Amino acid sequence: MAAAAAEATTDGGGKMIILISADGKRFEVTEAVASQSQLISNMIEDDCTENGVRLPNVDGDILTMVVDYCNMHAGDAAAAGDTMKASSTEEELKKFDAELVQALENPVLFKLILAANFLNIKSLLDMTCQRVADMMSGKTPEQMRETFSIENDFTPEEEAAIRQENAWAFDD
Amino acid sequence: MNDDVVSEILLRLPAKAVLRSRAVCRTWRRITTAYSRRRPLQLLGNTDPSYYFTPFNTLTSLPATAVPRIDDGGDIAGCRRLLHRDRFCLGLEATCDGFLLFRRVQKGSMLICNPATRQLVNLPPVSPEPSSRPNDNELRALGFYFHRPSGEYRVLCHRPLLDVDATYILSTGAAEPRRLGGGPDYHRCTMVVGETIGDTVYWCRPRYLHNGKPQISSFDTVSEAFRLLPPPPVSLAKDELVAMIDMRGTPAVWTMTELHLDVWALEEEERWVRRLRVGMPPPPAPLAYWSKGSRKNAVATFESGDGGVQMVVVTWAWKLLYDDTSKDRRVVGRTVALLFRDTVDISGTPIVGFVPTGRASSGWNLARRTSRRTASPIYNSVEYKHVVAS
Repeated sequence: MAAAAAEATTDGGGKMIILISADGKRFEVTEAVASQSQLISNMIEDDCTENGVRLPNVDGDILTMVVDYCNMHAGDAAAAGDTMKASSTEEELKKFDAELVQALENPVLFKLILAANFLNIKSLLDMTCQRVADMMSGKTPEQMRETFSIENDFTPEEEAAIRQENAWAFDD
Repeated sequence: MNDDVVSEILLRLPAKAVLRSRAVCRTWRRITTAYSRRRPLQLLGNTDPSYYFTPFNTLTSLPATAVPRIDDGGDIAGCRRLLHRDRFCLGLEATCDGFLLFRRVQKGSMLICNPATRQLVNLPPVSPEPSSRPNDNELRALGFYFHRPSGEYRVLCHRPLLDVDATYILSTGAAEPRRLGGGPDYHRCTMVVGETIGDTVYWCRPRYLHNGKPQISSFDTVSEAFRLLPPPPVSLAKDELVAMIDMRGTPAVWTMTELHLDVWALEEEERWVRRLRVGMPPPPAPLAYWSKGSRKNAVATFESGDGGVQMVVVTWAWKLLYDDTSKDRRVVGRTVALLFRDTVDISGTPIVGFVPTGRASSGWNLARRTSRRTASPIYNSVEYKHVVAS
């Protein structure tokens, strides 16, 4: 069944691909949409997407977001010929992107980053990492540890020495 | 989160936050101090704006992360000290393809820093004159360039206080400095670092006015010959600034009045042609301030993505961005503090500018563009992030 669906074609002429999340949810997307992921694009080139692409690292909820993102951004390349259309699309895209990352809780955002990294979707990785970087930029090391649930594995002496190295960065 | 993802995030932090992140845990420390092959310079590239407005062309205007750890004795403390505003021991002389050339203050030696790999290479020192005071031996650069035939980075330099008729060529590939004659008379009073365009270093000297015209001279880095070029057909008022810029491989000079910015390019057969005239926005204060402030004017060019030239114009009153292809002139912001000319020079005059970061919200960067010699494995791009407007 999956094989049949994978070989179906749409009016647009794009071949369809099935993505299967870690928890077994299936997403049907066009090749054009899926190949924004460098990982999947390589798989398409190697002709190994027939039976659907299993993504054991990506949960269904996260994959929903990724697929939405890719669907939204696939139009981007198609509309590039028409400048008027492209510029309005660009604005919509920006709005879509901003809304996508703004609303997310940190744990979800981190999962989305991991998915973008695993699937190798550069623009999504850029956007999500930048979002986290923006959140971090005013934070102290303590606050960074809290955000990322990281344990401090320095001895107090080591930490003091590191702070001393570039003391100006720890001012204010 | 794996290291890959953490570095993706840390790469996007401004310098100060990168330094703070080093104190978070061992893993982060390793990531932020290790040389990253993928995008080495972004970790280095962000400049803390408060350090930007410093009047000396020292490393203070570079991110702290660009200061490499060096293990040649006494210099470690010195390098750290660079980060303080009032004390320094290395002076940034010039940049070329992302490499930074420093002189050791009051000493006869220079070094090249590769901020991408945080490595330093000492250039062969010029032996001090026995009878001289230490300060006299200080070397100053006249040009920093890539010598195509040998594949070496070289420095043309001299000791302004000692040498009347000698210049030296220091190169990464030679153990000794090579002494060159002082060059012709017109060259002897050259004190500034020239602009390297292609295989030639150009100097433009407004102070030694000859009938109100600037004096343009050049040094062919291959034949090592000095030349005097015909001056551009501009008449300079006293104290009016004029400086060389690189118009996508063509040497050019700019002059600026309160009304216009003119760019004259040196075309084939050594003819000067006015390449552009850009109108300036009306000054926000009485014109009388113009002449006082004009010494702080600076222009830098960089290549735009479509092969055109974009130009950053900094005056005492404005920052403008001009795109030569679309003829679009945009005021990027009011200059809130004067940008010192040296500071603009620091970031590498031939390929520097305010460029959008690619994200709508992040304003503008003062950036070095990717080198044209992209084959160089150790250099991709340096970005000096300086948000001035959004």
